Order: sequence, then structure tokens, then C-alpha cells
Amino acid sequence: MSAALELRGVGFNYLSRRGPVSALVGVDLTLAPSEFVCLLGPSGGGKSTLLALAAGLLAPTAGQVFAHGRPVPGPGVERGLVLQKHALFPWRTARGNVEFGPRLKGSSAPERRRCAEELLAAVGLPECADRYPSALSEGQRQRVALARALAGEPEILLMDEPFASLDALTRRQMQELLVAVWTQRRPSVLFVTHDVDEALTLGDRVAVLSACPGRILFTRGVPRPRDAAARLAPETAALRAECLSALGA
Amino acid sequence: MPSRFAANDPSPSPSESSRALVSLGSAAAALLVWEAAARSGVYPPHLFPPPSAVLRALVLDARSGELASDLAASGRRWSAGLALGSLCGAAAGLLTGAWRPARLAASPLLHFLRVVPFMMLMPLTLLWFGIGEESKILFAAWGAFFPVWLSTETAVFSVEREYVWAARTLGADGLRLWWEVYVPRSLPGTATGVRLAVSTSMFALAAAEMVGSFDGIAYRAFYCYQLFQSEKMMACIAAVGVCGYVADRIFAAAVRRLLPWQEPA
Ligand SMILES: Nc1ncnc2c1ncn2[C@@H]1O[C@H](COP(=O)(O)OP(=O)(O)O)[C@@H](O)[C@H]1O
Ligand SMILES: [Mg+2]
Repeated sequence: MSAALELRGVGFNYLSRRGPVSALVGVDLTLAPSEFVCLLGPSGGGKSTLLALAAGLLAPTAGQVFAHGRPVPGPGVERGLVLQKHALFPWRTARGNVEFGPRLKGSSAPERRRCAEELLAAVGLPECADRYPSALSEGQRQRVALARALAGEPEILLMDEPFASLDALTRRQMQELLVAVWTQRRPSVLFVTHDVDEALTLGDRVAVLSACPGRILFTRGVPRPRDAAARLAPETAALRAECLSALGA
Repeated sequence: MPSRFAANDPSPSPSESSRALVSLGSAAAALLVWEAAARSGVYPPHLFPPPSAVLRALVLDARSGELASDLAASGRRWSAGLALGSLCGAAAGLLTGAWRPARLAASPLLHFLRVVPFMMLMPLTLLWFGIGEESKILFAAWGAFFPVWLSTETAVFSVEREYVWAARTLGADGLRLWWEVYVPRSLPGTATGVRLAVSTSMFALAAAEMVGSFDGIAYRAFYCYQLFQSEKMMACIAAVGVCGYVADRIFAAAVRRLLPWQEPA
């Protein structure tokens, strides 16, 4: 089966006033259909850059990004994005945010409304549709952002530390919601985090990025199921230790 | 009893009415000091009239209809100029903010024009456009343009990368991206610019009316100065101040209404 997403020898340089700054070098990464990959890396290691390259928002300065074997020409609804900061358009209500993609695609008003209602219910916020983001809690905003990305029925969800600024309990709930959505809709997920436990809880695989300029240090499969016994198993502990030491912790 | 501690409590709390009392009290105190100083005779009363005399002149002018017709003439020019200048300023700001060639081409010229005091441009305007209504409306528009342009441009510059990214992955590009992200995101900045323009367009209009007009509130003030009618002159100033204050409050309330999504400041 062809990879939903493949980065082949990808490098990226930012242009700054003092010349090019290398953010990523020689990154190889594949994402199979319906696979959940967590990308771990230290702050400033190029995780967000990698995600933007995968989304087609930035063009690699070396190598290439493929989706199903074809080069990615630019961003598109088939690759949905969920970010940590400024996740929602503040000038649109929760409903308006979710309807954004369908509206641009040209679907009719009742159709959009139904779609938004359904998705807001799916993320557990049916009663918040007419609130502006400023009147939502951080966790609620991330739920709406997930619903907005899902409205395009993406094949791939690209998520950049979406739960990083949530409290522990809310984060736990959001992780469960994401797993439920993933189980039901089966998109591929590329999930950026700097939290090892989050990566080991969610991912089929973890990929660990080095400090700047980012290289993939290693990728490892994470055994399932994720029950309490598995979490305490020696293999899991060894993997956690390996990830932590790679992050320099 | 309404809580004093609720940050977003919309009902007027006791502290709010006491704040209004402080504001009104300080204004009343200033008027009293002025009245006392004027009556003490330290300065000739025809140059330094007390507020009570100014109020009398204001009432007389209002009765004769002269005040209303001057205010109406200025108000028409001002609102036309403010609308014209704000629209052009917002459009120019979006253009120079979002499109680099436009910025490179237009910004130096606009900044050059911005720092030329508009009083100095008055003779030129009179030469080119005469003393008709057009030159006065243009002048008010000139005064409105620059703050709106600058604050819109700044707002466009500071549009967060995240919004652009999100919109692009949802299918927005080109003009659509501009309309769906850059325009709404920069509206609060434009509104701040227009709020500044409410006064700067009045300044420019006043300059135009003093030099090339036969009616309007600033013309009237200047005319009264030439006739040594200090009370009447001050009455004109007071009328402009009150109208401007009211216009500013109305505008601020309208912005809160029109941009309900803004975080409470
Ligand atoms: N717009 C930019 N211009 C120049 N350098 C940048 C820019 N954005 C990010 N960088 C640099 O690229 C590196 C990777 O950044 P980023 O992808 O945001 O890392 P992460 O998401 O892992 O924290 C950092 O060292 C950062 O300083
Ligand atoms: Mg980042």
C-alpha cells in the first residue's frame, strides 16, 4: 500500500537576516494509511517546521514530500491541521470556524450547518456553537479546532502540540477524544509533542527528532494494548527511557 | 446584591456609578475654578470670559439657529471626509500591508505626505480646488486617511501565521485568503485608526474652514476671534468638544457591537 505521506531526504532552511538557518536536515519519515505517528523532539528542534512541510505550507529546500507517491503541491483539505496557539479564528463563532472549510468548498448553508452540528456534537460541544473563541476555555477551543479540521474529511491529521497548554485532566480527556475520533474515522495522524508519555500513550510509532537542526534519531513501534499492565511492562519502560535520553532529559 | 468581584459583570456596579461621579465632579470643579478665576478680574473679562458667559452665548447661538447651521455644515463635511478618508486608508493599508510591491512603491511617498503638516497644504488645495465644499471634504479625508492607513497596515503585518496556515489548509488562497483572514483580522486595528481619525479629520477640517470658508463651526470660531467675541468663540470650541466626545463614544460603542468577537480589553 502506498504511504499516505512520505518525507524523503527533506531539509529546510529558514532565511534570516544573518543568512540561512538550517531547521531540518535529511529527514525520512513515512506515514501509512490510518497510522498514528507521534513526533517527539526538543523545543526548537524543527517539529513545527516538519509539520508545515507535511501540510504543504512550506516547500522543502532539499528532498521532497509525497502523498500516495505524488509530490505534495501545496496545502489542501485532505491534510487537516490542528495547532496549539491561535487554534481558532477569533472572528468566527465555534460554528463559523467548523463551517469554514465547507463554506470555501461551496457546500450549501443547510448542509454546512448539519455538518457543523454533527462535528460539534462529536467533539462533545453541541451547546457552544454560537460562542466566539474568546468565550471558550482552552480545552473547548482545541475541541472545536479538531472539529474544524475534521470537516474537510482529511485523510491525514497534522497536529502540532495541540494539548500542550491544557491541564492534566483536560489533556487526558482530549487524548481519549482523539483516540475515539481516530478509531472511528481512521485518518493517519502525525502528532507533534514534547511529552514522552503522551507519545507513548497515543502513537502506533514514535519518531524522535534531534535538537536543531532536526534529524530523525530513531523511530520505534509502540506495543498495544495500552492498559495499565502494558504501561508498566519493562519494554515500555525501556522505550520511555530511550526517548527521554534522546531528548536529553 | 450584585457581586463587586465579577470581572465581566455588565450591570452598573456601585463602583461604576461612583467613577462617573468622580468624572463629573472633576469637570464641575474645573468649571468652578475657571468661573472664580474669570470673575476675580485678574484678566480682562472680554478676553477671559467665565463659563457662565460662554454658556449664555451658546444658548443665544442655539436659539438663533446659527450654531445649528454651522455645526451642520461642519458635520456634513466631517462625516463625508471621515468616510472617504477611512475607506481609502483601510484599502491602502490592506494593500501595502499584504502586497509587498505596493508597499515598496507607495510607502515612502505616503510617509512623506504624512509628515507634512496639513496646514501647509492648505494654500495648495485652495489653488487647485478653490474654496468649494470639495476642498474641505478632501481636507477632512486627508486628515482621516493617515491614521487609518498606518494602523491597518500594522494590523495586516501582525496577522498571526497560524491563522493563515489554518485557512490555507482549509482551502483558502489568493483573494479568498485575503478576504477571509487578513481583512477580518485587521478590522480591530482599522477601527482603532478610525477612532483616531474621528479627531484628526476634525483638525484638518478646522484648518480648511479657517482659511477658505464662509460657514462651519471652525470658521465661526475664527470669525468671532476677529470680532473680539470671546464668549461666542469659546462657545464654538465647547460645541465642537462636546460633539467630538459624543461622536467618539458612539463610535466606540458601534465597534463593540460590530466586532463582538474581540476579547474584552
Ligand atoms: N520564521 C523563522 N525564521 C527563522 N528561523 C526560524 C523560523 N521559524 C523557526 N525557526 C527556527 O527553526 C528551528 C525550528 O523551529 P520549529 O520548527 O518551530 O521548532 P519546534 O516546533 O520543534 O519547537 C528553531 O531553531 C527556530 O529558531
Ligand atoms: Mg513548535
